[in-house]
Amino acid sequence: MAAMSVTESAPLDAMGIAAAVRARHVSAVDVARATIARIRQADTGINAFTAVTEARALDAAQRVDAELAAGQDPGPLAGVPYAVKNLFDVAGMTTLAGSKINRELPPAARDATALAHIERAGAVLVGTLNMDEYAYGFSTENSHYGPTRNPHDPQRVAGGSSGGSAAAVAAGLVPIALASDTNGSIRVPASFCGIWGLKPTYGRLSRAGAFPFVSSLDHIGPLARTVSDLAAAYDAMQGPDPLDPACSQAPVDPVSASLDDGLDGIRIARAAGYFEERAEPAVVHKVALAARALGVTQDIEIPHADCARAAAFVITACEGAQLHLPNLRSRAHDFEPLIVDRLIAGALLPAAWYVQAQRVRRWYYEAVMRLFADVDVILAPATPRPAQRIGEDTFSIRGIPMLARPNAGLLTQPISCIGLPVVEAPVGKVDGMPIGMQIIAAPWREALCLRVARELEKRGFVAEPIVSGGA
Amino acid sequence: MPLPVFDESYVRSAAAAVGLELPAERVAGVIEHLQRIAAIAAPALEPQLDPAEEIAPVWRP
Repeated sequence: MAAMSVTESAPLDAMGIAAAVRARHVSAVDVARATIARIRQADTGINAFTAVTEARALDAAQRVDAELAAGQDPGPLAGVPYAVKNLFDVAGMTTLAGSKINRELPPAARDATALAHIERAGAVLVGTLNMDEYAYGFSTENSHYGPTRNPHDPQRVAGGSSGGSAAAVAAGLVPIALASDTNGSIRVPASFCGIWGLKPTYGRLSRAGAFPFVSSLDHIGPLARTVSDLAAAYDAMQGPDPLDPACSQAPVDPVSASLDDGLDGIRIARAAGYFEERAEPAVVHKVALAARALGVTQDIEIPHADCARAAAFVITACEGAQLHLPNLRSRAHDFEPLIVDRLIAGALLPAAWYVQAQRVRRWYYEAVMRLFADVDVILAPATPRPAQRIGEDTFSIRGIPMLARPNAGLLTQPISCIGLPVVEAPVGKVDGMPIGMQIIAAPWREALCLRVARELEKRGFVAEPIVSGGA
Repeated sequence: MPLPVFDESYVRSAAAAVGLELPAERVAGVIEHLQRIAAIAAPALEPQLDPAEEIAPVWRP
């Protein structure tokens, strides 16, 4: 069978690819070959990929085709190429987590649970993706593997720490990428690259086989160019997993079937206060336009968001440092220069601060949950401003200069601090660069976030057009 | 909550307490990061919460 237009100017989305493969209009092998060829051609200008898993991809694709030939159903993501942030275990490969130190680890014995789940749905892994070292960053400026460049402007960051994941999807190299989000590492790069992202409820998806960063705050989730693809990836990744102690034992709760249920009965408000004051006016305006398109007239103030951000910062500093303390003792020089002093500082914080931060987290959670008595979904900017230039140390928000790298997560940290589900939605451009919005719901209400996302998408808020990186 | 003074003396004694030997060239950078963390952490250190309050995450056998 001939390769489809998956190599041409309008690569298909995951649902389109799966439909074509299942209908045997194109073989999964041809899709995999075309995807890998496109990656090899286009990734040089972006540096999203750290490895291409060609042999594995062709094997998996052949299995999909064989199942179809035998009249079997490979699953809803049959033949869909996907890639993963390189902190996910891939059997037979060393899990780098963006680091130099991890190169010395033995290869993973098995795939991470998320990979096993999505491949049960028929998806085909084509490679692993660049990230900030040990996920401690918002820019994917990695000294060991090079920066990942924003496909919309290669002089700008792709965001982080899942920059490779976002850039690969934004550039049309893969329709779906898997990533992680501790303080904003799915939402920030999705915002900077103009695509959709999902950070589910804390504990919704198994993190088993994903190299940790901050166990109290780590989530995993997908990135995609359409809401349907995002939902399909999320559905495929679900399932209880005893290998992750934080993973909910709740049964799979598919959301794809309810995407088009509309907005009836969903009370939506726009976050004011902290979430406006810490974003550029042009960004707030974009969110306001999206809110208006959804018919939202109500504003709401999320109380104590500054406390929540502060608590997340302290928890991250302490837990992140503790994870790496043995290596900080023996080989600090092998860490990414951008993070090593920050890690060491985290190891030296008073224990009372960590306990206080966890206590604040519970207090803040209870305050926010009271809001959800009157509202179902809250809209807020994902990032204070669009992507900064690679190498830029500072930017300004409302005329106030501040450090660029840690402050890209100003608006995401208060939300992930308490594990709320968030869809990140592309809501246009500011100063020529994409910008995104958070669609936030109460725990376990991912379906509401995705229904709102779908309505936005129908109203023209779509992923930014595919840009060939560096071209 | 009173804030410690994050200076070279603090860094050296805290590093020793956790078994970190810091070369001299690292100290200034670590102090800078501690001071940054302190500035950001300040709002979280203010609330007077019940010290008997259970903290998250909670370990259960």
